[in-house]
Amino acid sequence: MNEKEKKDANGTLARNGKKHEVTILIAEDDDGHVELITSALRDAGVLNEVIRFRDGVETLAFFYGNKEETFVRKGHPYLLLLDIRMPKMGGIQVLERLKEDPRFKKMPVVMLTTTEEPREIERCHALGCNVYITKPIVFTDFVEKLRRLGLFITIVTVPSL
Amino acid sequence: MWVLLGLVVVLFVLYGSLFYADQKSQMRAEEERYLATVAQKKIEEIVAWREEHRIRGESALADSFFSAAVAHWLATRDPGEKKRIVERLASYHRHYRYSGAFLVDTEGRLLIGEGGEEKETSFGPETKVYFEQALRERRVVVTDIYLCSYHHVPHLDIVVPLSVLDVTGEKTIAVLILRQSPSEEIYPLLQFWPAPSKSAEVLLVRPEGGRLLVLNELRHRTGTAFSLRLPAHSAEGFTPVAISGTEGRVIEAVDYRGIPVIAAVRRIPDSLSFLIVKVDTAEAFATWRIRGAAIAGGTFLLLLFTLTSIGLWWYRSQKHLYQALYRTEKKQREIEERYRLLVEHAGDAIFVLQGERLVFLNRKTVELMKDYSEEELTTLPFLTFVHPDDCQRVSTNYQRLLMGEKSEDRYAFRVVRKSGEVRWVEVSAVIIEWEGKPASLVFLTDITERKSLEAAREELTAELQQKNEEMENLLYAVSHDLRTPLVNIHGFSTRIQKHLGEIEEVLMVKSSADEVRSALVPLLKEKIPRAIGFVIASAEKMDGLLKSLLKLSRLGRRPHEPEVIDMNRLVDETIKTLEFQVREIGAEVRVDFLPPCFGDRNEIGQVFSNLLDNALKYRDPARPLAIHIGGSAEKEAVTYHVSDTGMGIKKEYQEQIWGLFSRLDPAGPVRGEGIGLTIVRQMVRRNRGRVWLESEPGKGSTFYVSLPRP
Repeated sequence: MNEKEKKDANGTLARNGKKHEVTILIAEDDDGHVELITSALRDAGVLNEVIRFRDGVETLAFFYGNKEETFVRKGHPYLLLLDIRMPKMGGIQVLERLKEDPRFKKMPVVMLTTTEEPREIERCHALGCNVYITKPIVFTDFVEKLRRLGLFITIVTVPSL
Repeated sequence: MWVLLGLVVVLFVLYGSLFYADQKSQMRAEEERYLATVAQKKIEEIVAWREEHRIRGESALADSFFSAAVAHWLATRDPGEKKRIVERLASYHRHYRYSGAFLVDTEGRLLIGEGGEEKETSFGPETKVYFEQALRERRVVVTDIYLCSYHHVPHLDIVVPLSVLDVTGEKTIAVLILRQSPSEEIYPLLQFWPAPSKSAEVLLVRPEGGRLLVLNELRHRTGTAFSLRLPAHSAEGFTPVAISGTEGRVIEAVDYRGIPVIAAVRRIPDSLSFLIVKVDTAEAFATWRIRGAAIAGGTFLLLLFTLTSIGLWWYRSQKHLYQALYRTEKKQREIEERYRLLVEHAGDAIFVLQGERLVFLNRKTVELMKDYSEEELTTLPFLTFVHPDDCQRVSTNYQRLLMGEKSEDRYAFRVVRKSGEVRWVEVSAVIIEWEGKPASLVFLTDITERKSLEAAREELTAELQQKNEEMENLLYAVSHDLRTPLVNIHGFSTRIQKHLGEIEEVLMVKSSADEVRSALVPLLKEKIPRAIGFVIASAEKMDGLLKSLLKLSRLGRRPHEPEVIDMNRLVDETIKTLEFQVREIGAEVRVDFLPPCFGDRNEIGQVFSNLLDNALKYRDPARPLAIHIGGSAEKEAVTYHVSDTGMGIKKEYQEQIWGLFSRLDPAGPVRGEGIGLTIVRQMVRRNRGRVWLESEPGKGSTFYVSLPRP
């Protein structure tokens, strides 16, 4: 696997050589986690484009940009991996915002977090989050989850926005 | 009461009088009956007596022997006949107690007489009348008592016309006159009284010339026969007119002596005369007097007794009444005393509100409204004592209560003592009637202590909640933020393992050195170091986090020792510790005169240190940094501010920055753990202060800290 990553001031855009339809958006503040997630996905054979955001603000900036244009490509499927705990704006706020918007609410969102607090889970489900993954310390489990997610991504048809 | 007595007296008098009258009339009736009986008896006796004499006369008349003898003597004047006649006449005189027996011719001349004194042998005109009557009627005539005018001597004669039967028929030849002296028989007969009596008297009277002639010898006066004439004064009641009217009854009159008598008057049959049987009223009613007196006396005594009894009874009942009254009053007073004690010793202020004022209050009320005199409390309008902010509410509720509408019960308000001190009270009121008019009975409980306790409790609760929150946040933060690096450590360590596996594979599989090198280089030069870098970084991060936690904990465990702080000195000291950074950055720090506050020196020092540190760290590279520290004292607290011309903080992030381990830009240029503001907040809270911020990105931030006044 080789990936070329370009960083700019607003975030991380990754383009892949192999063309897989779904673009994976990762909103995660910890670099280490991002690295682990991405590696795990790659190892699982998920070679889709990955775009990384550092916090909720950056994430929404992708969708809403400067209010004039969104970076979202029309007619393109996206999958969002959303970490709950991020500086400036957290994952739940982002989730809320996206699910409110008729344009983006179809987009599948996977919540990532370190805790399994029931209230949090409930809130996410109430907001319409489809999947909730806890990041386990035992990384192999995490990888396994991600691998399955990868399969999921390859198998399932993700709706186009 | 008096009515009763009056009634009793009247009744008694009435009864007494009636009884008296009744008794008197009874007695009178008795006397009258008695007199009437006596009169009747007397009449009968007189009639019987006259009858007796008449029968004697009749027998003489019927005595043909005697008539024949008389006739014979008249014819012959035979002395022997005369002798026999004389004997007969004498026998009349002796045996029948005639005062005289006379034989008289039809002319009225005495032929033979026997007995009688000289004056008795004359035949006056009065006699002649009877004489002629007897001749005319040819029967025995018993005369009334009459007075012979010749000798003024009363006589009573029995005139017997003697007659013989001859060829021409009955022919009267002579008249036999048997003369009686009334005083012989008739007078005693008349005066005889069945029972001994002192004043009883019988009068035989004959109306004559408008007056009454007494015919008999009276008891109380002598020489009355045919001499006493009862006057014609109607006042005495014995006039003939009056007599005729009273026939058969008993009358009261005054007799010839001028003494009041009761008399029964009866006509004597076959006679012109009346019988008056009289008794002095004094005597008749003598016994009455005693009896009457006895009745009167008895009634009076009875009345007295009754009055006395009533009096006693009334007195007793009054006494009982008064005793009962006294007892009731005493009991009443005891009850009142009990209630008074209850009210006075009550722990609440109890008073009665009528109109605008208090009309009654207990001791506690005076105590509550300290320094107001009792007079002031009852004369000033009650709203005077209520806190101005609560006046409306209190007034409204009072009105509603009086109207009978729903009002708040057990609500709290403030009262103001004369000194101005404010006390919180809880009120409970009911509507009552006080001296006939509606009023409000009010109970006030002083809850000032309770309120302050409540306030303290609330504060403690808030503090507890706060601490809990902090704890929870801490735990949450810890579990998240410590886990994150741990995930990395584990994850990358696992990757390293994987990479090692790859190396092994390469060494085993790849034969060519170049192939081996080309396969190993990225692993050894890039991937593995990279992974290790993450591991180390994560471990360091964890260490940092834990160190922060320790710091936080240490700060939390330090004793809180508040004092009056000279802020100028403190801030100067703090700035001195950061002097190096200040100079390096080239920041300008300006400090105003700072008023003192009350708090723990170390904690406040920490607060300002952190704030300054932040100001220095989060400067805006586009502008020079200027820091301004100032403060002003207000009524309740002192407010300080630390202003900078740093990068500022967006509004949406101004809340989260206080959180534990929160960093807006963890990957950014500024290094930090994210606990600076957390500590600031905690310390400020510990000192009962508040901290808040105003900020604008691109302009700068101002942090405000308010702390208690010394």
